[in-house]
Amino acid sequence: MARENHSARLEDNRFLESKIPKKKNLPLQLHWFLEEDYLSKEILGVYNHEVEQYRKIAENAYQVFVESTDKVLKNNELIRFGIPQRYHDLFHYSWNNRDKQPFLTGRFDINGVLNRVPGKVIEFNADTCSTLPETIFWQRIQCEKLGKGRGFNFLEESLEVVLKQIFDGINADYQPVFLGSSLGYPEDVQNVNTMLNLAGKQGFHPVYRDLPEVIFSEEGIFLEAGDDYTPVDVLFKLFPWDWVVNEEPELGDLLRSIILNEHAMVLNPFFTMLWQNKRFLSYISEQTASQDIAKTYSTRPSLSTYVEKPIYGRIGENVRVFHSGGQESSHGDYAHQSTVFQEYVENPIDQEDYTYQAGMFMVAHKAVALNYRTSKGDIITDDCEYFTHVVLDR
Amino acid sequence: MNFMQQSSTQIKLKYLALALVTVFFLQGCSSDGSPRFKDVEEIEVSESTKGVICEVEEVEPGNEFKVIEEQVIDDKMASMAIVHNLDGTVDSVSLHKMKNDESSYRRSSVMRPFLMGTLAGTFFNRNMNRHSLDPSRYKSTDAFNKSKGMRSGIANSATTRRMKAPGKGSRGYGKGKSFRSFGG
Repeated sequence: MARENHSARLEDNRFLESKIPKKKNLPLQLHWFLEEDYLSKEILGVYNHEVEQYRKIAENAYQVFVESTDKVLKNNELIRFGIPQRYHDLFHYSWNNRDKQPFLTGRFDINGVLNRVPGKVIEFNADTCSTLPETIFWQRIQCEKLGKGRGFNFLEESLEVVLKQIFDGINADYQPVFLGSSLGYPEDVQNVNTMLNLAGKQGFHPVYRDLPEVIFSEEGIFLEAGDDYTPVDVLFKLFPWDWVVNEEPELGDLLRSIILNEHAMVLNPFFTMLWQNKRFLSYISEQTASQDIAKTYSTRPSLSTYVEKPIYGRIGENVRVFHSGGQESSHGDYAHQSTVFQEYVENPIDQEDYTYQAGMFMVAHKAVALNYRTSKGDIITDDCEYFTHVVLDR
Repeated sequence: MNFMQQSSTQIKLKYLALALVTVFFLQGCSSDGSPRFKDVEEIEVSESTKGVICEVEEVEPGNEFKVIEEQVIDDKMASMAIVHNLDGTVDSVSLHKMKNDESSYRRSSVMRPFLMGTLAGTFFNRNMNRHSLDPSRYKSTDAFNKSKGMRSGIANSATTRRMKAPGKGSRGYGKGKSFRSFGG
């Protein structure tokens, strides 16, 4: 379908180029990405005032997420979001204890801004947020090569502060174990390894295991070490809470017991299951007048242009963008899920028809790092490219 | 083949297969349907023999509490939390009841996690080696230090015992799912 374009295209003079360093000079966490033709050698220039817009949108949206969560709890509405009754005490626990078992990090996807379309959050990757190695390592290395600052990127040091707080809070007279776990896809493993690298620097004993190798019981989380078991203090997981609850309920019951009995900390906390749910965006649209979050509806709206997406969909799968002249859609594994409908917020497009999707990392309530992914078409899927940015003065 | 024509050996084999399937299901699930270890091993844990009376004050409406004072008692089953509510009322809650019946106290889902970081956590947390006090849950440094001192006493009188630990059956979640990313 031919794309309609109502906003100004990105100027060519925003784009800079840097050489891709040799693989042997890059951290191990980036090697898999190099093979995937995913890391762009081009760099996007973003102006200071645009960064400031992104930052304000993200921090305002975060505040709305917090206030709306309080409202959901006050009105006893968790069941409306498909969170089973038996997990409600866990939800309350994770929400009430978020100063001690904090939200590590998540990424708002924000459309608009660079094309002078008012920027809006289209979703919050709050539970299993990716693009950590690209942002922490690749973006920094490319910026250093170019010698034009570091971009808006304080993810590494912000995570180190939070991880240090967690380490100090455990106050153990032994080296606490920080286990990173995923379902084993190489990209997810490298995201976890990036977090483990930071946790190790704060004094944790970092360990990676694919989920099937991790031992769960009502006594805690354990790693097999010869004839013995090593108890885990913190589990950083890149498998989603919604998957645990809906597809591995036995594991869900064990994790519930482990967390409530404080045998181990599991991050991101359980409440991020609500933040990851796009039905929560429609709740926000019903309950607030936020201009920073794209209007989202639980039923099909009477708009000529809108987007339909699954409530727990990831990496742009099973998304449909409806235009007056037709629709663009993506395939994926989430076709069975309920969907929500969202106002269409146009993303910046360059002279070659590539769309730019901004992501703003949050650590606690602070916006700490910006990144971009780009692809042809409105839907940013797994086939996208990662784009480093630098901040330009104006 | 007609059932009536089956040999007694064939019938025995069928019963044996049925028995094996039954054992398999019984191992995977306890009588109340909750998950349990399918392949149990034993490890050594240190368990408190003492009880605790924990006096707590509500400091913010709803869910925020601070420990005023704790006291160690000999009778573990008599452990309790005395909760001074903001509205002036006082709840005396048996920890044994709270542990076994969440509905016995209206604030169990908040109070029990709170108590985990106090001396009273030794009542719930079966392995003393996995328990520590959280100073932020105490109203004053004096109250925290007093509890910290008492914790050493509880640890010294703790017994060690063998207990069930997870075996191979409690792992393996998410097997065969590595074909795609679950990040976003």
